[in-house]
Amino acid sequence: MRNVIAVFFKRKKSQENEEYIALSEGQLMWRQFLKHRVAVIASIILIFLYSVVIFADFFAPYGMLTSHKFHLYAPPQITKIRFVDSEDKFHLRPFMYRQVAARDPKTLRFIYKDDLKQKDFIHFFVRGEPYTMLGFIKSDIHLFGVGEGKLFLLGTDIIGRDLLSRIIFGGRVSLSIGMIGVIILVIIGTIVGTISGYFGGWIDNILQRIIEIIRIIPQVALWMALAAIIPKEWPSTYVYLGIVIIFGMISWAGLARELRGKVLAIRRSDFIYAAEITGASTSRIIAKHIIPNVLSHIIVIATLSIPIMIIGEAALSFLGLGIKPPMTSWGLLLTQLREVQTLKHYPWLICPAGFIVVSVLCFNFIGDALRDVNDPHSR
Amino acid sequence: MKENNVLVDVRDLAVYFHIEQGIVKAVDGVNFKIEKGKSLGVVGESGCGKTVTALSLLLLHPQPEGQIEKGNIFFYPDGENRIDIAKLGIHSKQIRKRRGNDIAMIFQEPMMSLNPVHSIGQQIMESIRLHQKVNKRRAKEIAVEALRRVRISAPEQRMNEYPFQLSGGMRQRVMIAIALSCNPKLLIADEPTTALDVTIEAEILNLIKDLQRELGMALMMITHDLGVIGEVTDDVVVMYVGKIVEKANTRKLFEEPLHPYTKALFKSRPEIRTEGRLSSIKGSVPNPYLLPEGCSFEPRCEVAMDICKKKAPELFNLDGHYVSCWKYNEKEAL
Amino acid sequence: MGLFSYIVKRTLFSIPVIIVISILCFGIIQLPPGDYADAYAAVAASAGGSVSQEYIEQIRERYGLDQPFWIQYWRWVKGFPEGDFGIAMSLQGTPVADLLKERLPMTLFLNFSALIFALMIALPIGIFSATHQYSLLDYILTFIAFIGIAIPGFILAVFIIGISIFWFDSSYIGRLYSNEFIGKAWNMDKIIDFLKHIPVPIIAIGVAQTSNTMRIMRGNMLDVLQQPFIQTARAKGLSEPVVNWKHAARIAINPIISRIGVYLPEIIATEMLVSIVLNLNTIGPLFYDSLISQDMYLAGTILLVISIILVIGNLIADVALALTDPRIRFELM
Repeated sequence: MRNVIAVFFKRKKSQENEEYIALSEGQLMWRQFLKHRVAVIASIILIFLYSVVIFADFFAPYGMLTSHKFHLYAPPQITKIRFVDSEDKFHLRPFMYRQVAARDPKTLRFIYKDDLKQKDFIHFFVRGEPYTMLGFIKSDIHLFGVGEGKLFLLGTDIIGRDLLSRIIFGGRVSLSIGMIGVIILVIIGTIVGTISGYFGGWIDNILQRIIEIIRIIPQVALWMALAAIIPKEWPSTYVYLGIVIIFGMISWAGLARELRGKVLAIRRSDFIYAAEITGASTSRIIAKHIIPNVLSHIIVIATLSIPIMIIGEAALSFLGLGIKPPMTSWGLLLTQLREVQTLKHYPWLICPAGFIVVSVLCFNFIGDALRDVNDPHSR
Repeated sequence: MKENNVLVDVRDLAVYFHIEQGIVKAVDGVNFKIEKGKSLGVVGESGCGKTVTALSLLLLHPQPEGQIEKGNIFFYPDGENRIDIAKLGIHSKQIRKRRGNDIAMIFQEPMMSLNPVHSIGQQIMESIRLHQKVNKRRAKEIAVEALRRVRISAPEQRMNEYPFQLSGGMRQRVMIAIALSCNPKLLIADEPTTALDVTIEAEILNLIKDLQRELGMALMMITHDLGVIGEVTDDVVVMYVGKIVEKANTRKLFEEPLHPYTKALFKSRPEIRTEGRLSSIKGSVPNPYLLPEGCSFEPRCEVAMDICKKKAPELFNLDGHYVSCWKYNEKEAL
Repeated sequence: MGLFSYIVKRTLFSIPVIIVISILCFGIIQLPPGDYADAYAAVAASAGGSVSQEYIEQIRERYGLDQPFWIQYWRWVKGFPEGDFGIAMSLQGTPVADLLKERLPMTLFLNFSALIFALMIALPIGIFSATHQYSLLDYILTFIAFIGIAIPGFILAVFIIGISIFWFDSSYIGRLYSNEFIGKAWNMDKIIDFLKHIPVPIIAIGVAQTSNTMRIMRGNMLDVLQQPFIQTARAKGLSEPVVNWKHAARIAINPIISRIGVYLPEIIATEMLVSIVLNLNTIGPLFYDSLISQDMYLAGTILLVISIILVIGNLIADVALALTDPRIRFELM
């Protein structure tokens, strides 16, 4: 068992009066976590992503569904932002030349050229499309935008929708599915695992068989099969909820199994016997002694399960079995790439994948750091 | 000449651990000699540096945190040539030639000290074939012989068994067999019986003593148990927080311990008493990062003097009995 | 004798498990409201045509879709001993067994190769990473491993396709054989052609496992290197490479062998997705199509077959573990 309290000491300024400060376990773990610089950076990135995604209407230059008829398949303009114009004049405010659409005579695809006569300056906190954010904040101010022209930082898709805006809105779904799904997973997994490990006997046996059976069928196949269950007529919000529930209901087996092992190990500890002898009720023992000891394991497994769900949602939506329009998610945004040619001609459409990879990476780093903090091996 | 009898001569050895919180002086300037065929005991509490000292003789001290800061470990493999082990590269060919061959070591936890997935025979033969140019069949014979020598029954059968099939005492015998398979000149035993039952402990200690006599081997016995020291060793060294505080012939130490710490160690052994409390040493081992300036034992010493706080005493020689305490050098103390 | 009886025991125990799974699989497929007949009608409707109610009822009757669950289940299961797994209604009644026979070998080959690929790369790198902990190379490898874990296989497949199209001859992507060889017998040329097509799918499938295994191996090695017997090995005078490989790696590898049972489902899952993206001729795309059209015999059988593969895979992994770790071997006997 780990030491419950470790002593850190600092030297104070005075020579004789050295003080010892005992830090609580939580503070100790927090400090340890901070030492993993990568995990800290990852946390900052995630906080940033989640903030942007929560206040999507504000951060996105355009609405989720707004299509711009004259700018189909526009390439990303992020490379076209400049400070110096064609006459070598420097402007403090970044700008772009207005894009004019034309059709390439040979391939019949759209190409976009700069209109040197029109400069679109990028302003911050501009007025744009009106929105009702989070159901009650009515406004029309966006973080950035250009007045009359169009600003497609990451390009547009086949019907002229701004990819960046859709990525931001899609992030709401992709990033939240993991979170909510994990809550379901933790609740079911913890209950099953703890009961299994604590009571043992035939309960344990039955639960273990059930877990084994669930684990044998490959998760992805289960996801696909269950996702196919969702009636096609359901509105996209129900589909969303359905997917979240499915994920939670299938993935708890892993957590239950791990927890069972840990609970089983702790079950025979002397301090549990001591609690039993003094007459503590079962629920009290579980709540006050068992759960706090396995809490860190739960947190680690939960954190590492989130990226699995993010990827799972992306896969399902990519295949058309997941999130339905008008909702959008990062996986759904990638559906257009199923046609291999699309990637060749409009490569910017793969950007949502980058966001998936980054968030998965961040969660993995954090989860890894938490696991290290919990149970250091390289000591 | 005296020199010819010396096998290992440790001079002013210091091993420091460089870790995040600071530098820990695990071994801070120790001097001792191990003579051929004789046994030296190293006794002290946990954390006093005795294990690190032993490990450093084979450059097995924890790396990369642990470094030999200074000092020499002179080794005389054949009475004439001298090698300074402290200067050899860690895991270099030279030190590896000595390990298991000239100098062997057995450890405390026999269960975890044997590879769980290799058979006993494999583990002994590995050592044999590493240092001796023999073929497999001959190696097997030597291995069986080694098992027999440590008084394990049915040695041929044991060869194919695995560590988890043996009892603690038998595993330790196997470790000894491995260590002795190449007839080393020195056996270092790091608390070999601490993890064993008392009756088994007696058997193992007797075994070690007998083998030492049979093979004319030197022995370095690390322990925290004064009883073991009394049983097995000719000379003894007492360590406290990385330094040697007393060094003497074992019998002399038992008859008349000089250093306050040694005295306290003797007093705190449980004896059959009808009444009274067990005596313990007041205070606790000092924080390794905040060692006192003077004598390290001073805060817990019952007879401390003024100078003890200010200056660390050196090892004073009282006719072959060395003590590191100001009480025995009153004139320098003043 | 002990090992053999263990295998027999395990196999016998798996039979009830497989039976339960078969019921589950079949049940899951039946869960969506409606049935194959409805799906058929829906497909026809979206293609612009329409199907008469009468015809739908005919389909229903023909395939017994209006029977209660247990009867339908029995109809499916009773053909098993003769190798009859029902027919694929969505594919003009081709026997499911034929479809599987066509695609299963390739599926197994891909999965197996991806697993071997992952292990062969991950294990040495994991060992190296652990023994050179905190070195620059360790950080780089760890970083690469992390990225590998983060990129889902199917995205990697898409990504590789993109790169290949830009840089290489794109005809090697998206299929397993060049056009000339489809349907022909295997000869040397076909084999070479096949080998040229294989790397992309295998890498896409195996990458996530490679990265994961690398990390786990590294962690195991670090744990094992702390153990006392490593010190004993060094004290014998063994050189570092021997200590690392013969002693440390030998033990560190055991948890990985026992985890092969967990790897298999992941590899199979990734393979399904990658195959769908790359349009390969394996079970994945078949499964996907069968789900969409609610072709229950096909989908149910595939689900069952995959599960059986996993059960067998688990058994093999456990046996392998018993072979390498004498402690487990003795527990079994």
